[in-house]
Amino acid sequence: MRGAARAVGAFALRDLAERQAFRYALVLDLAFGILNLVTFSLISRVVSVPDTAELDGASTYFSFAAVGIAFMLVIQSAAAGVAQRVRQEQQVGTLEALVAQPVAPGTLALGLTAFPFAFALVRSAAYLAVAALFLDLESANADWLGVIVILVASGAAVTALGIVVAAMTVVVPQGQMVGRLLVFALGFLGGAYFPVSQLPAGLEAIAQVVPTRFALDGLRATLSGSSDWWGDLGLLVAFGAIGLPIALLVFRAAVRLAVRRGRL
Amino acid sequence: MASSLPTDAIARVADVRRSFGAKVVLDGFTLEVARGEVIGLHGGNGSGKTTALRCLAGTLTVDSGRVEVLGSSPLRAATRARIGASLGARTGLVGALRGHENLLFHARLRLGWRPARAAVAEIESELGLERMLRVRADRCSAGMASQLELARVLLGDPDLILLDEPTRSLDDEARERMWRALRARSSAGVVIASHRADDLGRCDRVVDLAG
Repeated sequence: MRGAARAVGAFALRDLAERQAFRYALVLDLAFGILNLVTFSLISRVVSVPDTAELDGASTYFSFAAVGIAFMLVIQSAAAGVAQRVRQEQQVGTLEALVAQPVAPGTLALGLTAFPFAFALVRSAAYLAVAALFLDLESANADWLGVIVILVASGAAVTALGIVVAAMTVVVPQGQMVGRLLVFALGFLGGAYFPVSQLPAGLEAIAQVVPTRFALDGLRATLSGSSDWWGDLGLLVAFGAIGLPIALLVFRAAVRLAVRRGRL
Repeated sequence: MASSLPTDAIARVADVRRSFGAKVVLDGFTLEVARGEVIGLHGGNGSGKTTALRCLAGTLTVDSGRVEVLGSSPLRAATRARIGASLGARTGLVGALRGHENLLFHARLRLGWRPARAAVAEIESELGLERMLRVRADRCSAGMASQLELARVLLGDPDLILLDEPTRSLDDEARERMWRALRARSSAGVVIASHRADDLGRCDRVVDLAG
């Protein structure tokens, strides 16, 4: 257990050092996120919503969509980053060098994904703060501690998602694209950009059980000052507690398959 | 699990067969590596040298036969703690990180943080790596990267050292340092895949995979 924590820490330090080497990429990435928020803020000024009651308590479309953008943009970016990283590690040979280390596949999975997703959630919080301070995100009654609690609780759930994307990339050459599609679908079904009530009936039923829905609903509730986010928090924790072990098993199976096929 | 190896043996490969699709790369491959022994694997391209090393490193399974390192399967993480491996033409170095950062990362996967720092300092001094420690791995010459890769493999004093064409890009001086470092590890077994006659000439035993 201690060795596993040490190894995950080593991966986190490696990723941090690598980020410092690519600091301009991070600045550009942040600029991209803020430009997205500005775009939706401007769109919101010209789009009138017939019934704001449908926007989960938000009074403008931007207040609704900013949460989806701030959360899903970074999750998509983290998932794409992890998939790209795994693919790159496979192509340059570092994945095999990592598998040759005394590191269990589960530790390897956490090492590859924990930092990018933890960092993504910090970026989410930063985007929400920018939207609240400089754009039109309503936050007069926001419970910022609640925002942080929901983001932290989302950590295990979204990391599980990242591990599944990494597993797909290990086994399938097109895993990157499949992963991006999966994350986009979770944003789409979770109500990132529009209320899930607008989805066709069949999809709306699926939307009730996707983890992004709980994260987005919880974030919107905390930002509007509602205390109605404990249920979402509980569901997020439950999803993480169940999803993370399953994701680790999926990754272990993917590595075993790659070792059997000689495709590391 | 009780080991079926002789007391001085570190690894044993018994009657291994490995194929990729219809192509059989290893068939009936058998090898025993004793402590302090340096074994050269010789053979043309595609003869199975890298495949044999991968099976020993635990990054490739066998179709049939048996691979044991210190009495257990190298597919187990605990067994891999005793193995240091460099496989294929590519290094395990992360391009964006400096030489020292790469070594520290790999040392931390094996050792506690303080011992990792000490092990890295020791290997850097032993192999004379000072010149390349501050250079990003993707800006190192092939020879510099090969030396860093050797250092990476030797971290944590593995009992079984697996090297795939390690002298490919090394100058004479670096090659000498490599051989000195390998011979200094008298309690480890070493398997080197190589085409070079001078390297094979320095091995205690050469196994010809083509034959």
